[in-house]
Amino acid sequence: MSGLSEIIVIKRKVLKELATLAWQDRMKEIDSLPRKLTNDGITNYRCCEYRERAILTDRIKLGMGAILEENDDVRLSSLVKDLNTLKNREQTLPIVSIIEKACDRCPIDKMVVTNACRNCVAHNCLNACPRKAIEIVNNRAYINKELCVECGLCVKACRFGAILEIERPCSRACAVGAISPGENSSAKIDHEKCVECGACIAACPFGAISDRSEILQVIAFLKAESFPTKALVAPSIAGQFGPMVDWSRLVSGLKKLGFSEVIPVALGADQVGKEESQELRERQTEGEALFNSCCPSFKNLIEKNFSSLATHLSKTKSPMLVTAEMVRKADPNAKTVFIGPCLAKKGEAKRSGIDLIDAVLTFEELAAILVAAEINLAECKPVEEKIVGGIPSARGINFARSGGVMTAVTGDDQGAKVKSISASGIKECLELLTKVSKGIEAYDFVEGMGCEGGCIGGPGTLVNTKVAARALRKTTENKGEDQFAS
Amino acid sequence: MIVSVKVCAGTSCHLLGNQEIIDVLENMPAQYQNCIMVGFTSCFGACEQGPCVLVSDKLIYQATPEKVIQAIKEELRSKK
Repeated sequence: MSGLSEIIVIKRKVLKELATLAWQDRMKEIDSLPRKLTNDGITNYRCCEYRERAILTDRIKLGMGAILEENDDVRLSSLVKDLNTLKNREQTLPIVSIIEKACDRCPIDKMVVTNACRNCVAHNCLNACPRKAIEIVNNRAYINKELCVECGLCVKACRFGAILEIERPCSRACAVGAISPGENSSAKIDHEKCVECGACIAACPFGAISDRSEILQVIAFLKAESFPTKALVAPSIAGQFGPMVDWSRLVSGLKKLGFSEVIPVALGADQVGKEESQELRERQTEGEALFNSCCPSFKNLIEKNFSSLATHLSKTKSPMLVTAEMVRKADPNAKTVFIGPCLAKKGEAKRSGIDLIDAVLTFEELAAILVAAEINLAECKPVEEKIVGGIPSARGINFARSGGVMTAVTGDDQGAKVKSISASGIKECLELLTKVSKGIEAYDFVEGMGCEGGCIGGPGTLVNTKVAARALRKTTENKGEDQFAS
Repeated sequence: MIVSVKVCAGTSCHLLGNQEIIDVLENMPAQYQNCIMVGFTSCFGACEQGPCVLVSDKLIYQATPEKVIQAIKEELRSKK
């Protein structure tokens, strides 16, 4: 996450209000929530309040975990019952969704002549165009869309910079080309191509793309008394809840919220590091490359776009699933909630983790629930108990940043003998995989992370990547002990 | 002359974007760095109006980096 846009604030306010109704058992009032939100100041962004409320209603539906296409024209209150009886969680894919009412249907034309065109004498644009697609109409350059091949030479040729090359922010952000204009020109996601990285969500200036949340399910778990609910917290947690909240305070707050236990997923990462390291040795003797499998976006990218490379993916389970296995082994009745920065984990939990993970929350969604429950982590009394399962190592914690998995897997003993590389952000991963698949470059180990900077740059984070990286460094420099032991 | 700036680091203000303000305060131009003392507090009791920041004795509601910097400038001017 980079700077805090209005879009993010609106999303957070919606999640907070939704969580508040659920926490206080006031879901009966859900139909009046869009009105409350516009009354509270989420307004003046659109043509009228009615449109604003229609969009907010869709945001609430996503917050409730509903699929918009299937629930258009459905009252919010009628969804409450449906979601409570939702048994088959596989039906709850896909994760990333377009809010059509919010989509501004940005222009599709790539080359646009602006008012800055002076109909000069040189007509460099005309001369530069290899397809003769530009003519002068009404004293200004005009691009004939039938002939234009979007090469961009006219953009470079104009001395006034009067021709712009524009692209929809969502399409530009999507490195795998999964977003294109649909039939009515609003954005459409091709879920066969989507790797669930969330880059489009951050890119859309109208907030027309969002992800579906499981906050209601988690609140229901926390209120139930027939089973314990355990929090599995991703290593990227360091610094996420601000300068006053360390691991100890977080645990204290989560227990107050109703989690019976809080387990660092860095413990699972430690095990993954060891197993994948072993796997690397075996693959090396076979002369085969190994790719990490812990980032679900990277894994999706390979499976959907580079199927010939899929055999290189590590067979080791992700730290989330390994940790869930540990938790389940100790307590088979427990519900497991993964808390992290990631949207793709929501998808992973529903595909390969269906028997191990019961729900996934982002840090952002957790914060919304905490605020709804009036729990202020900065005021929680630090707990004085040992971490279940031991203290994770710095290597396990470093899975949260780009390069961390590589260090853990290639290790000290192999370091020199292993040719490894790491890429972060889907675009970079795509470029690297293209080279590898064409045989231009070869490595023993490839680490790919769907988000720039690794998990700490994830779409569900609460602080920017720089702040998170600093907090992570502080944690690992103390070998985890300062952060984890109290 | 030092202006004290206290940013609420409570969970509610954090959710509503205090981090952006903290970022800006930590990266202030050199001329300001010696005139402000940044600290944190866990709650000002106005969570609905967050993020909250206290500049000297003036509590800013729905704070933004611009509002906070403006308040700091005013404070520095009035104390000169």
